[in-house]
Amino acid sequence: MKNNIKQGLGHYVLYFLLPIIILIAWEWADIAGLLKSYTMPAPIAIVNTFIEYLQNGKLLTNIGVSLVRVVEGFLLALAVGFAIGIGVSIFPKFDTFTDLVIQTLRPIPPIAWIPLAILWFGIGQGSKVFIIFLGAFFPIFINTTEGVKNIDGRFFELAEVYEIPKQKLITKIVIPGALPQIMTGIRLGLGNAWVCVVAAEMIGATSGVGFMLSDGRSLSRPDIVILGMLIVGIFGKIMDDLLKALNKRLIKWQ
Amino acid sequence: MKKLILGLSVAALIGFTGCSGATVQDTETQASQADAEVTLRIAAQPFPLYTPVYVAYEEGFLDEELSAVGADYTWQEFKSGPLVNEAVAAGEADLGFMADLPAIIAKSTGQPIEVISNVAYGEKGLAVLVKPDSDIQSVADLKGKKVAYATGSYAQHLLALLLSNEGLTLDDVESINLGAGDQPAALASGEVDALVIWEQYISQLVSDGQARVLADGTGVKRGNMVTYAVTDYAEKNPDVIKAYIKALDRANEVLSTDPEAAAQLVAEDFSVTPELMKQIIGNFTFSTDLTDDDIAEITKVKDFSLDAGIISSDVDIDSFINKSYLDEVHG
Repeated sequence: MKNNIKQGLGHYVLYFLLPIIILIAWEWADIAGLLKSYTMPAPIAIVNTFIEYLQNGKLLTNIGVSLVRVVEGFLLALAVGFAIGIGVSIFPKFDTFTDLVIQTLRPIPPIAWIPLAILWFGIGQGSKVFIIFLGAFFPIFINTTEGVKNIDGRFFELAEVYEIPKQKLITKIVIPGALPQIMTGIRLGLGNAWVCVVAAEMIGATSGVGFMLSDGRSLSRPDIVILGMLIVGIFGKIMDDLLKALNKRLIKWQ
Repeated sequence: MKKLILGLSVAALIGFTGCSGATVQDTETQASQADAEVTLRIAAQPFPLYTPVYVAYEEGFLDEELSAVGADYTWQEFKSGPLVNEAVAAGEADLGFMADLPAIIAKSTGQPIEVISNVAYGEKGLAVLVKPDSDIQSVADLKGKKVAYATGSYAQHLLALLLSNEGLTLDDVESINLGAGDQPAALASGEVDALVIWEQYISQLVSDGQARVLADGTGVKRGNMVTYAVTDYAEKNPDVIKAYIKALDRANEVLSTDPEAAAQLVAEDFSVTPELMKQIIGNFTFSTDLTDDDIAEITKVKDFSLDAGIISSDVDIDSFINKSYLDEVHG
């Protein structure tokens, strides 16, 4: 019991040690006069900006806007990526039919779509959701197909022998079998969604964390830039943690 | 973004015509320039607001004046003042010219810079544009509309001023941070309802029938353009700073005696026709002098920006504006 607590404590000390070391080194560098406020502001400047932006409401508004965009784009990508992924896995002809287009579009970075996205969907929500969708779609799609491919072939043979209908095959064999890898795809997709929301909001946007970041750049305020970066990092981590927890519950047998 | 413009070779082309033996296209001339004791790294902006610097550049005045004090220069172009600030903060430029607001922002955030000369001012050099058929008829109509401008540029200040005259603030419009070069397309496609933009775009868009002026700086904003230098660099190389001022003075002389020739010379730098360039030149007063009026205006811009929350810490005008180099040149 005692040992357990000790172990737990040691774990958390180790877990938080690096960020604390970074903070101390950062603060020390500032006190030692190594930092210029206009290139690398002190930690306290970030805290002050955080409080300032919390008070004037800009922080929560921008986080809210970005969060909604991420969730919308991600859910869209999840639905489409999952559906097409399962589709190409169990219908070889559909795979052949779509392969060239999907594999050609895949290497194009979502950021490259921004100019077109603005022309097609405008400066508001639409273009951002589109970019996030592109960023999240491919990891989900690819991991879904790979997940199905990695299912032991004997399951499919058995299903054929017993003439199990396609619908049952999908719900009882394909999805449960591919789930671990699908979850990996979902986590990668969500990570990409955050990357894309910031990129999309930094070009032609009126709100969001990325907009806040580019505003900070234009106003020569690296403290705002760093605050924006931290927010993306922290929210991305929290959402990934939630997915990890969900993963554990869904895939008990692992 | 920080692409090194062909400037160097152009400078060589123009500046070394007097030098015997130096073939104009020869990039080796740059190597011989490297013998100079000190280099002035200029962060430029290709807009007619800075016509005197471009005239000095194209006429070879910069070359002549700087080489007279044993210096040479490099020339990098940026699309807005905030981007110049960034280059200077990163230690990649020693001198930049820009409008009042971005220079104030740089000083406010602690960059060690000082204004060493004026470049120009002109109330008509900056304007809010809308489509000719737009139903926006007054500044008050901008409420709730999408307005594109370069955040941190002096366009932001004009918009804030115009809005405040109507009892509105920047928060009453949907601001979109767009570089000047991207704004005309955004207006044309209907992505934004209005632009706040400077010359050459005003004259271009209006003469093409793509936009009309909703309001400009007349009676609202004098619109000063200034040159700032990194304080430390200026203190170490006062002669270089003075040479720069002299080159600008010579350019202003050309601009006042022969504006047609000046327009011809720099029109291409701003991608406008010489005729349009001449018209644009008429919208500005070009002078290196920092008069009491200029300083009062800059102080006003600073106070307003602080109130409007565009800057968060105050700027001491005395340490921001250093007239000593100007005074020595002008005697």
